[in-house]
Amino acid sequence: MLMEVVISALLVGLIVVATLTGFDVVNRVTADQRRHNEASLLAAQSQEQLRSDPATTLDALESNPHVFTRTVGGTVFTITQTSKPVNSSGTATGCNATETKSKTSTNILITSTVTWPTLTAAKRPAVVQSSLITPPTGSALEVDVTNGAAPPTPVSGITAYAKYIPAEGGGQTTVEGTTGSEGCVVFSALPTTLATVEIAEKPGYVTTSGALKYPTKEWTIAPNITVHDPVTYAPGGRITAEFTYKGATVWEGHEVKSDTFVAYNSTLPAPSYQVGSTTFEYEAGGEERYTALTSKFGAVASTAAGVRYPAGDLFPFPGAWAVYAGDCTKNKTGAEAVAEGKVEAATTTVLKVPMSYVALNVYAGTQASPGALESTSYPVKITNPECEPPVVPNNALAASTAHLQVTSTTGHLEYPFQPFGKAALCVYSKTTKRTYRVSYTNTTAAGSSAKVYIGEPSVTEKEETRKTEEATAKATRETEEKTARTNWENEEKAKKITNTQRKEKEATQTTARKTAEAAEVTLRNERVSKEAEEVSKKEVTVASGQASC
Amino acid sequence: MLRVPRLRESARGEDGFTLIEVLVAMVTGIIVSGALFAILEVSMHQTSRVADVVQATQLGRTTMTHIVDELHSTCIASEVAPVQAGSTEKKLVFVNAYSEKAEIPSARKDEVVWNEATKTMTDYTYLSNGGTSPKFTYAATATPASGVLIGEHITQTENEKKEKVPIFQYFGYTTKSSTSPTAPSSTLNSTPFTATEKTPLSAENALQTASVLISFKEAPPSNITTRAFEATSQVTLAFSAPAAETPVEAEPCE
Repeated sequence: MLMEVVISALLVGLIVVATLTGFDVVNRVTADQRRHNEASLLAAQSQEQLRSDPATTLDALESNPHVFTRTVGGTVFTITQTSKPVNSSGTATGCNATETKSKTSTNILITSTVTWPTLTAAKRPAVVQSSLITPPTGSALEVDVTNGAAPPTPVSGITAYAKYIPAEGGGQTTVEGTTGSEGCVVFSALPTTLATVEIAEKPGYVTTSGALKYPTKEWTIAPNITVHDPVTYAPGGRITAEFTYKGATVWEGHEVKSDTFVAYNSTLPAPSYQVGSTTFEYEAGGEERYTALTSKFGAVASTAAGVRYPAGDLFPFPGAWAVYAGDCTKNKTGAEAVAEGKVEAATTTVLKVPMSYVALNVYAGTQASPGALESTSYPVKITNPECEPPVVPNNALAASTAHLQVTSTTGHLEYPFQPFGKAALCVYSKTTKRTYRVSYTNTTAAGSSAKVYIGEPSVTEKEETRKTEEATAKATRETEEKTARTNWENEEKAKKITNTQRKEKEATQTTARKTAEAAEVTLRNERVSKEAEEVSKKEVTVASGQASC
Repeated sequence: MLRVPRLRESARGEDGFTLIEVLVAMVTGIIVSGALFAILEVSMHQTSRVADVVQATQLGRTTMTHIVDELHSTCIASEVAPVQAGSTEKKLVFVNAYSEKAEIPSARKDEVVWNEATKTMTDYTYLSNGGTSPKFTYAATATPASGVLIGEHITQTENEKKEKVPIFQYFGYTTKSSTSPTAPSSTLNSTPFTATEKTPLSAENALQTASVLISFKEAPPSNITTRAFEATSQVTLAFSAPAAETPVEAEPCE
């Protein structure tokens, strides 16, 4: 009995709950429909409002959608207005950095998306309305930014400015846009025939020449045609050179050290190379150009990396960079001298750079009597004469080709691992004020050897000695001649020699003197030419009275 | 003697419901029936309401589409001002035309009038009778004279402050796009031109009118206003996006 009543009550209760639930569902559905209706109207209204925006404002909505709210009937609707350029087909994306058709008509697809809290909470799709807007009769400018890879990849997040004077008059107008995932910006309907495109500098990004600021370009805008401005801009990279000798960083217990190297890429504008170093000085402003300093020897050196290009300023070309020790392209003497490697964006590429060797022996004595190797340290300056006059490398402020070091206490170069190519080596002795110059050419890893004799007099010193000797000889001869003449005159007076005899005697003496003088001149000339020949043949040229190399 | 106990046994097996049982059953039955009737009533009401809302929506959309379609045909030539002086918040006067020819041979002037008393929306059409494109002259009498009824049971909508919203609002271009987080991205002025019955749209403002906002509430034939459809639509009178100028100096039908 009780059970029957309880069951009946439960049934009634269930029916009531079900009924109320049904009402609630109907109410919810009705409310949802009403909100969808409102959202649809708001979307349509938003579309019409977007139609009043100029093309440049619509372009900006692509990367920066406009979001605003409207409250209708207690419901807060969030409306997002976006745009996207579309081709004349209406289906493809309006711009593409890798597509450079010169005649593409660009329309703008405007989209209004409406959401409200309950819709978002239920994760249901928003109310969306889209339509096309035709830019006014005019011209479009498309800036296509790629990274220069093969095949090129679009670069996003690059801001481009188009500046122009409107055809109808007025001051300069600037419109801007930032590249999206397609790597492009479209400036629709520019009311001008001439526009200047500027690319905003992006930290760490470089042009193909390694510059930080992309050069400004001027474009002629043709009616109803989209003009394409191709821009190659990518994060810069860096090369670190690890100096090696015969493949090793340590040779016979000595760490292989050097100071500068050349990073060459034929794609770069002339002179097509940058110089890496162990130390740099940077320009305070502007392009923050570098000066690769010499004479700071280290096991590794790198290409420049300024504050605004911390990862380096080498453009990541698809092709490899050639790297070799030295200051200019003349240091590339053969395959043995070169290491090659690709530079990746925002990455440091480490390459083993081959070095040659210079075995310099500095003796205390002369060439005739060398003596022991010098234990005194002498300053040394090494330059590549073929790199003179210095050519300023790409993105550099100045060039330095003089490499200073010293001789060791064992009478050799402190840093004997030297670049390939020609070189002029100069040792200076402060004591004798002499410079000892020697030239060599390193074409193999084995390199060159040179000997310097600190005691060897210079050419000037030798000449002075020779002149002194000559003057002494001449004075002796003249004294002897004078004595002989006096004797003969005395004899003449005593023997009363006839005029004919005297004239014959004088003629004989004159001939003898001339012959002696001619022989003397010939001997001197022979000696001078021999000395000159010796000088030219000598390894080392010694100069005296010098203040330095 | 033997039959009595059998009868008693038989009678005991045929006991009826007690009064309490009958009463409980009756009350339960009444409650259930009542609930069923209530459900039926509510269902009928809901059905009627939904039907009304759907009908109001359809009618409202028809009325709105009629006006919007005509407004979309108003730019009969470049840089003409289609909205005419004298338009008010209850009367929209504009020029429009349909033609398959490049140069429009004839046009019409429409007056869409909302009658507050009768709650009707009527479209009066005045056909062109002279002039040349785009400067036509129009007949003084509408065709048909009584106009075309395009909506009934139409009232004004209300904003959040429960203020009546004008049926027609007229907007001109401003010089810069809005970037406010509470307003759409638009180069239309957020403040409409003055266009009341006392002070209709001036000739100067009519030349600048680049967008018309239409808002009304259309009730179903049952005229139950709570089931009305609130219709809002805006039409921007333009061939294309304005030129990218700073400041923007756009005019209607550019």
